[in-house]
Amino acid sequence: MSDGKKRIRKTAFSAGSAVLVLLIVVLVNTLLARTTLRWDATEDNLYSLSDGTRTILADMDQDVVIKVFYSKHVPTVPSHIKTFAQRVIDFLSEYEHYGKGRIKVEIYDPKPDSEEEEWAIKYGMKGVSLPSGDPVYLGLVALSADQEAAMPFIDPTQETRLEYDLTRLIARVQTAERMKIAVFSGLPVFGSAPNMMMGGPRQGQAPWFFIQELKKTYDLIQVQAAADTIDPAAKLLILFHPKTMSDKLAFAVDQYILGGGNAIVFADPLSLMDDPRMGPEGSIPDKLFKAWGISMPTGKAVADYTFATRLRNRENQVENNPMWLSVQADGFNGDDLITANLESMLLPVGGAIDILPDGPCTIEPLIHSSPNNELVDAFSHNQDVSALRRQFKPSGTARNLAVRISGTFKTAFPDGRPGPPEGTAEETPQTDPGAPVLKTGKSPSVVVVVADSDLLYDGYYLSQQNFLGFNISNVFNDNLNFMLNSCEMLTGNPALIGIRSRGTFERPFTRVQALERKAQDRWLDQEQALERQVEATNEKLHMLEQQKDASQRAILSEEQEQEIARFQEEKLKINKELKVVRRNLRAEIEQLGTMVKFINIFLVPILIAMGGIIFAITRKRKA
Amino acid sequence: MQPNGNLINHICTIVKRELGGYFGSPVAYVFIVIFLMLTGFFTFYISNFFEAGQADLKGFFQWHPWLFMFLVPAVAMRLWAEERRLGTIELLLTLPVTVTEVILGKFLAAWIFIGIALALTFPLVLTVCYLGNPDLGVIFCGYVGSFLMAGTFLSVGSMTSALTRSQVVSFILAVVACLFLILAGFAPVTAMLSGWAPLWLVDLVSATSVLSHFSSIARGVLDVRDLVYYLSVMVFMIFVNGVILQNRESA
Repeated sequence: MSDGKKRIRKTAFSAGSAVLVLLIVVLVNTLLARTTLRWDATEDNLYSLSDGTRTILADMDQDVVIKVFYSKHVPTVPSHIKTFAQRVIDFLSEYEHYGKGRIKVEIYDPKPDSEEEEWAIKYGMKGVSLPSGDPVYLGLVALSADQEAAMPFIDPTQETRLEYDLTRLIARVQTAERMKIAVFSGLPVFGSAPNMMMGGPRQGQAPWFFIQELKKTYDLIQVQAAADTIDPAAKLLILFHPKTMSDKLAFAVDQYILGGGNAIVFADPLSLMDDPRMGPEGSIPDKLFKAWGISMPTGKAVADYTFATRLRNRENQVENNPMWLSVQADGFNGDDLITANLESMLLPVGGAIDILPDGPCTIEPLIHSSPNNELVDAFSHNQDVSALRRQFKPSGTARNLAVRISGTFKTAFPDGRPGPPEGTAEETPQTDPGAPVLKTGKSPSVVVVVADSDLLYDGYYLSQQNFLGFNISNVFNDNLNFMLNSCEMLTGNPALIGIRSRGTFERPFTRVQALERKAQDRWLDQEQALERQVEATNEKLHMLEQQKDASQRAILSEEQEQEIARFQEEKLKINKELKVVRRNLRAEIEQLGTMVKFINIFLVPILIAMGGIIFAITRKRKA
Repeated sequence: MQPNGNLINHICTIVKRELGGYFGSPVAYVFIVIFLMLTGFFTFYISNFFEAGQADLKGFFQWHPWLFMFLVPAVAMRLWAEERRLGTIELLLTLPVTVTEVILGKFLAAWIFIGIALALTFPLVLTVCYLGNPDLGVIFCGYVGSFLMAGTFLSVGSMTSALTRSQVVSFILAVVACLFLILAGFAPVTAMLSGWAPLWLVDLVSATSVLSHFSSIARGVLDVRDLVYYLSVMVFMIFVNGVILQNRESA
C-alpha cells in the first residue's frame, strides 16, 4: 500500500470517527431532552411548584386533562418564545408529577388547516401572527368532567404568574359551581355597552381589569343602587367607592354582614376617577363604620414623605408627591396572609382609618403609613406640592390605610329597618315584612376596609402594551394581588394566596432609596427654616409698624429699615443654602454611583496592570 | 505507575506550564484588563446598571455572549497555530506525553485562565450586595452559565486554531463559528434554513443556540439539559481538535 493511500485511509477514518462522536453527542442530547432534572437555585424557588399548588393538586376530586396548543412546526418562532414554551411544558410535567396520575398533559401542534387547529380555535386559543405571517399558538385548556377553562395565550412576560394562573385554572375546572361575589360600585367598573342612541355612536368601555380578573374565578352579581337586599348566596360583598349608598342599601349591607357574610369595602375620601363635579363628599359609609368600630375623617387624605411617589407634575418636573402613597414592605402587616408577601402598593390620595375605642370586633391593621405622615385636605392633591411641603408637620404615629375587622358584628340600625326618606309623600310598601331584622350577628364575619379606591384603577397597577399584535398587560405593583388575596381569604380558598405572592421579583437598591429619603428630609428642614424666618421677620415688621405714630406711618422708621435690610440679607443667605441643598439632593447618590463605577470599571484593571508591570520589572532584574 | 494517575499528572504539569506562560507574558494582563473594562463599561453605561436600581446582574451577564465571542477566540487562537508556526509542535509531541494529554492540558489551562478573568469581576457582586439585597443563587448560576459558555467558545477556538498555521485565520474562523452558535436560534437564521431543510434539522440547529441555554441557566436554574449541551459541544470540539492534530502529525 502506498503512503498516499494510507494517508487517505487514515483521514477518512478520523473523519468517520468525528462524525460518530457527533452522532453520539446529538443522540445523548435528544435522549436527555425529556429529563426534568434540575436545581432551582433562586432564593424563593421561583421555578418550582409551591406548597399551595401541591395542596390543591393533592386534594383534587376530578381528573384533569391539560391540552397545550403550541405551534412547534413554525420555524420562525423567536428563540426566546421557543425556550419559554419549553419551560411551560416542563413546568406542566411538574404538575403531572404531583398530580399523581390525576393530571394528564397532552401537547398538540396546530398546523394550518389541520384537525388540531380546528380544536385550538374551538377551545378559544388565540394565535399570534409573526412578522413572517405565520400564526403561532401558545395556549392551553384544562378539561375536567364537563368543565373547561382556557388560557388563550400564555404571556412570556408573565412567567412569574404562570403557576398561579395554571393552578387557578385547575382549581376552577374541579367544581361546576362557581362562587358568587356581589359588587356594588359608585364608579362604572363594569364598563358600558356601546351606545348608538345618544348623539351618534359612542364607544363602549371595557370593564376595569380587576373585574375581568374576578370574573375568571367568580360569578359576579352587580348590586344596583336601588337594591334593598344582598343575595345571601354571595360568598362575599365588595363595596367599591360606595358614594351614593342609600340608607336602604346600607341596611341591606348591614343585614348581609350580620347574617355572616364577609365584605371588602373600598372607601375613599376622594376618588381621582370620579367626576370632580359630583361634589366633595367621598364614599365613606359613616353609619356602618361606626357600628364596626372604625371611622374615617371625611375629605382628609394621608400625606407621607417616607412613602412618597415620584411623579411628573403639570410643569413636567419630577417631584416627590406625598399624597400618592407608595407603600413599601414595612407598611404591610407581615402576620396576615393577605399582606404577608406583598412588596409594594400604590394608593393615590387615600384616607386614614381610625380605630374607635371599645368596638365590638377585633381590628387589625393590614396596611399602615409610616410615622412621617400628616393628615391633609384631600383636595390639596391638586395644589402645588411645595406648598404642602412647607406646612408639613409629621404626626409621629403611623395611620391605618387598610384594616381587617373580624368578630360578631352589631347592627348599625338599632331602630330597625330605615323608613322611606323624609319628604316622599307616597308610602312605600313594606318589602318582605316577614324577613327578620337581625340586631347582632348570627355568626362571625370578616370585613376588610381599605381607605382608597383609586388603587384598583387599571392605570395605577397595570401597564399595557402591544406585543406582536396581542395586548399584554404588565402588573407593576401588588394592588391587584391585595384585592385577589382578600377575595380568596374571605371566600375561603387561602391555598391560592401562597402561590401568587411568593417570591421577590423587585430587588431595589435599598441603600440608594435610603439616601434619597435622607436628602429629602434635609431639604424639608431647610425649607421650613426659611419659612419660619420669613414669618418671624414679618411679625417683627408688623410690630415696629404698630409702635409708630399715626403721622409717621407712611415712612419707614430706621429700625424698620434695618430690620428689612437684615431680613433681606438673611433671606439671601438661606436661599443660597437652599440652592446648595437642592444641588446636593442627589449629589450623594451620584457620588455613590461614580464611586461604584470607578471601582468596577477601573480599580481591578489598574491593580492588574500594576501587578503585571511589577512582575515584568522584577523578572528583568533577575535575568 | 498507573496509567490513569499518569494522565492526570501529565495534564496537571501541562496546565501549570501553560498558565505560567500566560502570566509570564503581557497577554494575560492585556486580556484581563480589557475584559474587565469592557464588561464594566457595558454594564454601567449601556445597561445603566446603577440608574436602573435593581439588585441583580442581568445587565452584566447579558453582554457575556457578545464579549466572549471576540475575546475567547483571541485567547484560543494561539493555542495550536503558534506552536505550528514556530514548529514547536513536533517538539511537544516528541515529549513523553500523548496528544490527548496535551490537548486537555492546553484547553484546561486556557479555560482556567478565562475563569480567573471572570472571577476578577467579583467587585460587582460585592457592589450589588452593598447596594441592595440580591438573589445570590441567581448570580451564582449566571457565573456558572458564563463559565460554561466561555468553555464552549474556547473549544471551538481551540479546534480552529489546530486547523491553520495563521492565528488571524484561526481567530476569524472561531469568531464566525461562535457567532453562528449565538445566532442559531434567531428567527432570520432559522428562516433561511426553513426554506429547504427538513423540520428536524431546523429544530436541531435552533437547539444549538448558546443564547437560549445561557439565559436558561442565568435565570437561576441549573438544568441537566443545559449542562449536557455545553459539555457536548466541548467534548465534540476537543475530539475534532484531536483528530485534526493526529492527522497533521502524521502528515
